[in-house]
Amino acid sequence: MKKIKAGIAFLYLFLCTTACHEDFLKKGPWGAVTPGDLNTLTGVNYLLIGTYSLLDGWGTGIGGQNAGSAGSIRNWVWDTASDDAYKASTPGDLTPAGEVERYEALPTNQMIEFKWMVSYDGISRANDVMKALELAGTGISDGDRRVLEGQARFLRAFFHFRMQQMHYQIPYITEKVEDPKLVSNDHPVWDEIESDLQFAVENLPESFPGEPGRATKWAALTAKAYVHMFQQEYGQAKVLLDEVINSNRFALVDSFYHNYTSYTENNIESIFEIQSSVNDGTVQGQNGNADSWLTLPFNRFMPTCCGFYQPSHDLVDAFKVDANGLPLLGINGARYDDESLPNDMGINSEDNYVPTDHLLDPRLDWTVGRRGIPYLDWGVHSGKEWVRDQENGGPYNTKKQMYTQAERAQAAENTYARASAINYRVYRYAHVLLWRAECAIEENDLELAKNLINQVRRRAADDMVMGKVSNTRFGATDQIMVDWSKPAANYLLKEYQAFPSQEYAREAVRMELRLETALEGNRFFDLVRWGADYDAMTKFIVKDSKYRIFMRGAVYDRKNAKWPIPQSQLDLQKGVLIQDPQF
Amino acid sequence: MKFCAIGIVMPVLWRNTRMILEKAREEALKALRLEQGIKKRLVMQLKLITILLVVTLVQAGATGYSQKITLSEKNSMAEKVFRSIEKQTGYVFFYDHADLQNTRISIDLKGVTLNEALDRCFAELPLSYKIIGNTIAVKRKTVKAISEKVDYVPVPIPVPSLRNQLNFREPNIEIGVPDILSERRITGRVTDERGEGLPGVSILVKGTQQGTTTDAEGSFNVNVPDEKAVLVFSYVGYVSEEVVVSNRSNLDVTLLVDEKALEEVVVVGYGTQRKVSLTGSLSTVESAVIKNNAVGSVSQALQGNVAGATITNANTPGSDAKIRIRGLSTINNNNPLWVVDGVPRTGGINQISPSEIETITILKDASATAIYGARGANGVILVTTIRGKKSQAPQISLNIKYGTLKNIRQYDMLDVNELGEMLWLQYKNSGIAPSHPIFGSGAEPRIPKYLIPAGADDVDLNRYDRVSFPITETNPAGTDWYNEIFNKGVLKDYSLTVTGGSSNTTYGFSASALKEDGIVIKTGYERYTVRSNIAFEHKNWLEIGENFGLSYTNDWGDQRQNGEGSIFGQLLDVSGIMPIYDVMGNWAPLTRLTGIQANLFHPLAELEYRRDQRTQNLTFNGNTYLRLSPIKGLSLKTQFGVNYGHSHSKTPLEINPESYVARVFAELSESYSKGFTWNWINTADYFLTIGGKHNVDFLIGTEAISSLSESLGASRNQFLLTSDNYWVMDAGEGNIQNSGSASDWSTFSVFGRINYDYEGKYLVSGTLRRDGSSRFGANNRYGMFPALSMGWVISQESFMGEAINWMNFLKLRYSWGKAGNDQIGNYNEFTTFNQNRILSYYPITGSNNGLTTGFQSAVFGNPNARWESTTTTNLGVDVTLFRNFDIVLDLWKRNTNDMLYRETLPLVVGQATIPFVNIGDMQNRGFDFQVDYKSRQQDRDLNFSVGLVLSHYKNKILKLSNNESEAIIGSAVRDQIYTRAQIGTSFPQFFGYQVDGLFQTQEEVDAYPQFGSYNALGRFKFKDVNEDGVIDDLDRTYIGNPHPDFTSGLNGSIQYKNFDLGISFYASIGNDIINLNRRTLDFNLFQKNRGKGRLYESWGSPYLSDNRDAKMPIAEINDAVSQLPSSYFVEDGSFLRLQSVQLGFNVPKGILDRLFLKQLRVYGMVTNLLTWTKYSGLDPQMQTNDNSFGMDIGEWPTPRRFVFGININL
Repeated sequence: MKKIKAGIAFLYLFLCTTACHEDFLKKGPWGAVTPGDLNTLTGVNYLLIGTYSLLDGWGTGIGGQNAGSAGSIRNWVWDTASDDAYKASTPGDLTPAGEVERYEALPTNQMIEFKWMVSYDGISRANDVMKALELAGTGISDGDRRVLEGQARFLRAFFHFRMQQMHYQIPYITEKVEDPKLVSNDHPVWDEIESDLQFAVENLPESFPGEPGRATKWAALTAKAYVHMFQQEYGQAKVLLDEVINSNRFALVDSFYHNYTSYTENNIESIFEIQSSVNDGTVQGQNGNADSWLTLPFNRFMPTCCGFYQPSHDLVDAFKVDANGLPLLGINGARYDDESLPNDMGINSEDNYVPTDHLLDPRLDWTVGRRGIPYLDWGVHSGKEWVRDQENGGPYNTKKQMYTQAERAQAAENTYARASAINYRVYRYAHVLLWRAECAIEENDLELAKNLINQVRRRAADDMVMGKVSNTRFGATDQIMVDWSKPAANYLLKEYQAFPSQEYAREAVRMELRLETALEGNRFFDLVRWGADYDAMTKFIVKDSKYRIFMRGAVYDRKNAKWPIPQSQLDLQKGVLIQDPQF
Repeated sequence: MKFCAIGIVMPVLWRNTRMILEKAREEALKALRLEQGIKKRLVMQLKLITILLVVTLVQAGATGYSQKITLSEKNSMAEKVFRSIEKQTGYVFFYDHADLQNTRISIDLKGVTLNEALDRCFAELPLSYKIIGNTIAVKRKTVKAISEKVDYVPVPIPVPSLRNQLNFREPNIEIGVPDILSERRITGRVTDERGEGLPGVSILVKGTQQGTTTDAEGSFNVNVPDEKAVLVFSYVGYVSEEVVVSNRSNLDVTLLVDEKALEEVVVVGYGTQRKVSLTGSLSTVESAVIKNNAVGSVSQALQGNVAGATITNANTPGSDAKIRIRGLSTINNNNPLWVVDGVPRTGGINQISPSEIETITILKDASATAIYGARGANGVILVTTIRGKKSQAPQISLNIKYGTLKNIRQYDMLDVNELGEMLWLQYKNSGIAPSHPIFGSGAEPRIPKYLIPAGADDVDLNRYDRVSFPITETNPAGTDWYNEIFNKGVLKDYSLTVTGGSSNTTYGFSASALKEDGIVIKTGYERYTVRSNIAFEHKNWLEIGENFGLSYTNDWGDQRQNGEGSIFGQLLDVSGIMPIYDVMGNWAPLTRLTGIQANLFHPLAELEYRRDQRTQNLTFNGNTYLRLSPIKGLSLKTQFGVNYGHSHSKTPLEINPESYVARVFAELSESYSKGFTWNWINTADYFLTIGGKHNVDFLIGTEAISSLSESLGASRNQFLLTSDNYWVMDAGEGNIQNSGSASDWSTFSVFGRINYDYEGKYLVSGTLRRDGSSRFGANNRYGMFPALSMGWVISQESFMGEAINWMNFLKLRYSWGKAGNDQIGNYNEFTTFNQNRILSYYPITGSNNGLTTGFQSAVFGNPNARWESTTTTNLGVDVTLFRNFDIVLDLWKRNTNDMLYRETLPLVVGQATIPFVNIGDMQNRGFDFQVDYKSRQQDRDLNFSVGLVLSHYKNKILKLSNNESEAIIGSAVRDQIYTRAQIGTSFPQFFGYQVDGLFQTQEEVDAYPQFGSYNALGRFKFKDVNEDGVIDDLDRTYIGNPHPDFTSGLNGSIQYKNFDLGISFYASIGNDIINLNRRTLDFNLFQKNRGKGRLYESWGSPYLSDNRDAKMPIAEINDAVSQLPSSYFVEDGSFLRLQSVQLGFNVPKGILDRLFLKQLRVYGMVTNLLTWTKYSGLDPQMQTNDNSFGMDIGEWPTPRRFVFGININL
């Protein structure tokens, strides 16, 4: 009987467990919020910061630092398609970027897909802001709403613009779109970009005290002007640029170099900067300038990596000036690339090499690291030993995104020195001046153009420079000698006296943009908007093949002005997305 | 003299049948000898030798029968009556034929119990009976009279009641004459481990034919010649015992059940089942196989021993093997479910020592796994741990292994001079003047004195600075990096197990310690385990027990198993010209050299820095249960189990200024995580037999599981000291970091199973499980998993006739069922946002060192997801031929439907974790084949056995999503993708360009479809697969398949007297490997060292007499295009390996007795002795993730182990 009782007790227990409460199977995620939790002023602002966070190209999704390269704010991978830069590092390293460099990127190229990924993620985050704003209803005041929405639409336009630069047509995704998958790329989206930027212009304040990272009215004006420039709408651009100039809020900083340091950021020349930060509680400084992960020199003298994105021979040649201190534009005179400057390709560091004594624009040595010139305060560039693989990337190094030893403690991640806190100046006053000069030239107002260009040149002409190195060999026993009282090279930079023709002026402003903003990522896109890409690149390939054997046989076709729509997206959005007919 | 007979009526099962036949033959021979002996009028005292053959159904024996008997006989022979009772009840009568001669019974019974029936049968007879297990022992009522009366009666030839077809030859044997005068009489009783008397036990005086059998009570008396006599007690199904009489006159003996001889019982889901009655497909692995392996890992020891399982071992110390049962059923998690003593585990099995294991069963088809429902689709591996038997004296066993292990393979790299020569060849082939920072720019490469400064021959050593000027010399003699890094490791493994039991308690205890060095210096693994299992029984109806296992493991050193960063990946970077140290004895800055450099690390320095990196796991795995048997046949069990794992990893790292991305400060990172899972299982099992023919076993149960994992991590840098006891988090000054996470899940399930068989001939089994899981949204929280299977034991059929002599057993099985896979993470249902310092914060304030909070979209939820369901059909056959060949063949097909797939979303929707949707379909087909041969002569000097397992599967994706062209793209390795899968392919396959050899002539180049400007002499001819006249990415195609056609294990053992020799082979046939090490060895990926082939075997090499013999394209500065994923990297990965050879010696009994030992075995073993393969990499046997299956990037090779071991049983 005892047994039976025990059995019954057991069966009771058994049945109890079968009546298990439904709540037992309800488990929710830890440490995450559901969308509704963010429909507040704080929540919307958090989402907005999350959108800004993608400006550096480093975001969610696959690819990590390679996506950071493709989506890089500096566009460095895409700039290797221009005559300014090489992919560099070693031949086998980051081969998808090598395909971009050789104009061989197919619709399946990973870099194209990564850029698409990062940009549309930014757009999606901007739309999340818009949606949360909408759902927050009266919880957010009209004033706050306009400022938040203005920033969100600025960012949305900004990301779309970077896509539209790349491709012939792209889908424009807004928060009103029910299903982004169904938005076609059946037209260029310039109007949509302009409309979002116009909203930003009308609603954004002139400044955000204490928060210089936010987009202001001036940022929106400049961005919109550049968008118009891409459509050759110089008249519309002019008005906007004038508004910026006439505000008298901006000026050129004293030294050209101060556009490239971590301690002169958000200065009077800055209109919109991508903010970078290191030693901020992340492990490897991923909020640092994403470009600097791969594009800083790779040698034993500096703690950086990986030797991608080296300056081209052609770029260095462009810094040549004539006896008047003016660039060799090739109009009524020699062109900079008629004859190449000698360089130290194939010469070992301990062998003798005398750097050129050609007259040069001093901005060269703030832009390019080259043999025989001090590399900031890291010592003297000794040639081959400073370059990862000369045969693949040429003899020059980048300089603009490198920090100095002096600022290292603040500007470099202390555990991962390749990440830096140097902001990238997307729009600065020099851009505004030169773009305005472009507009003036297209209106044939050459005098105004000359004055604007000269403003920019004047600052560079009267600027600090590196010291003179007397060594011509950098052998193991050679003492390095630098005379800081003498300029490192034979510099000369003068203002234009007059533009003899519109054609000359056009070349001058384009050259000035190149010299002033070299290796800042716009060169290729500028060539395309000028319609100058085909000629420039075709010539470039011929000259460059002398140095880099793998450029032999490369062909620049007119279709290479744009990159194809990623094949993966065409496959996923069949009947919605259409491929560039050129591909 | 007594006459013995055999009563066998019940349908016997094959194993017993064979024993019966053998025994009967043997006994008949003995009887003949006796008869002849008597004919020669020899005088002897002879006790009757009786055979008792009992078909013992364990479950039946344990639980008894309770059916009614109906019988009507008039003056029938007693044996006939007994037979009809046997038929109705399944009980077997045991009696002396002589006792029943001319005994007749008249009786009329209707629906009475067995006891009542027997009482009435025996009421008028001079006989009594006793029920022991399922045997009814019949004896004369006057026991004493027997021995007095019939001692000298001649014995006629016994006629086995069933098998009279046996043919006996006439033996002619002289029987020795014992000295009667010195004889002594011994009385005693033989009992089983429960203390019940065992009837019919054969007792022989060793070395004579003298003997007797026990009576129904288990009692015996026997005359022995002297006190030195040894009595041998033997009984079918029990282990024979030998006892020295010495000066005793009374002798009580307990016989232990011989597990092997009994009908094999197999552990199945939530219970056990007789092997013969199985209808599902499962494999068992003997614990000896696991224990005798040189590897101290349970999972690795399974390789080559399980038909239907593909097992790949990892070669880092203490690593788990990857087990794939019947292919890959999903693109998601394919790990089988491990269940230890009924408690499901998460993670691997390596925390358990082989010494703790009693049985391993691998459930393969759905009829076996459906009882595990949503977790069963990938197969289930059931493990039970050691347990004693009732009334078993403590069995103490000590196992000691000591061994060494070493690496046996390395890549053949260019030496110092060859490297320079190869670089010069590259320059020449590329048409540029040689100029190298190290090797100079002369006509011939030169080897300078210094690497830093690059290419220098002279330097002022006073300028040395470890950070800014680490002067480093070249090593013209060449550094042997492999030699520097290899370790001749030591492995030590000790285990102690004790099992035993009293009349109502059983226990198993074990403790073990293992320490194993890696084949690479400063790596290793150690494990300590303790286990204690106890069960108490109260009055046969209540059992309470527990199983408790505790384990601690510690892994240390740099054990990255694959990838560029693994030590074997790093070794591809370094060149002999690089020294280990710079001129001041600090690590040479190999990653900071110019012209040639290691891309990632200084391999030796990295091993040294990571020597104190360790991961420690403390795991508790245990359960406690209560089992009730309130009525016969019913067993109610409730079991509560817990899995608790605690993991601590700690990585202290010193500064490494010589490294490229230097650690400027010493740093420490540390993390703790814990996982707690409990499960509560309730089962009711009811077994009954209806009408003696219908056996039914019902099982119903419930199971609730709940799991919570949490983790906490922290790191800091800037440690003033780097001494051992300064490495605590508090001592760090800078970069204070911390992190934490948590997740949980739960399931609740109800399940049931019915096993039915008719006379053990026709078998049917059905299973149903209903699972609820927190992992799925409310819309699809519950799912049903049914299974049905059938079996037919053809060998039981009378139409088999004479065939039964050679086809001793034949069973056909068919099964169909569904199981699920819910391994998709925990919160698929929810759309969430989160904040992340790296991905969503932004320094909006312009700070260079501070961030502002931002949020990002984290997960897109899918509330509609439900589990994948995998439907398996299985057709199996079990055959025993010629008594010695056991063959098992299963043909199977598995279809996975509603496969959970993270459908690729267009990028325009933004980035967040994409949820799983039920959209894909996958199919696997294959067969598992196993054949075993064992020579059965127990008493011969020479015995041997051979076993072969063979597994085949073919994996195919039937559907991924609604998009026909959807493909699963593998992850990129150095920016290239090598694997891909889509409809119609296996998951995964290799993908890339097809190489059609090299361009040998310019005409060939000119005529070939253009590939940009790539085509040139000596380069690859990439195939124009789509024949559109150009080579581009549309010409990429499937270029290899990593899935083997077959995997096979062949195990043989030979025993000769006290020696035994075991040999095992393992083979994997028909699989491809993509050897990505060759991208580094053959091409200019980085400025690394290269393999010998680049100089000697590349097109245009001066060492080649004919370029048609070239094995790789021309050596060039820029060969980026040649490095594209292509068939060039794909190799045949088939191999056959002599896995192990083991020679053992069992110390003879005589010596053992003097040492007071039961057993002492010493053995030596060598593993990985020989490999036959065409694969050019280090090792064709390697472990990779499913989506990078078959990709060799810096994989650790299999070591060779030399092991010496001792087993001692007390």
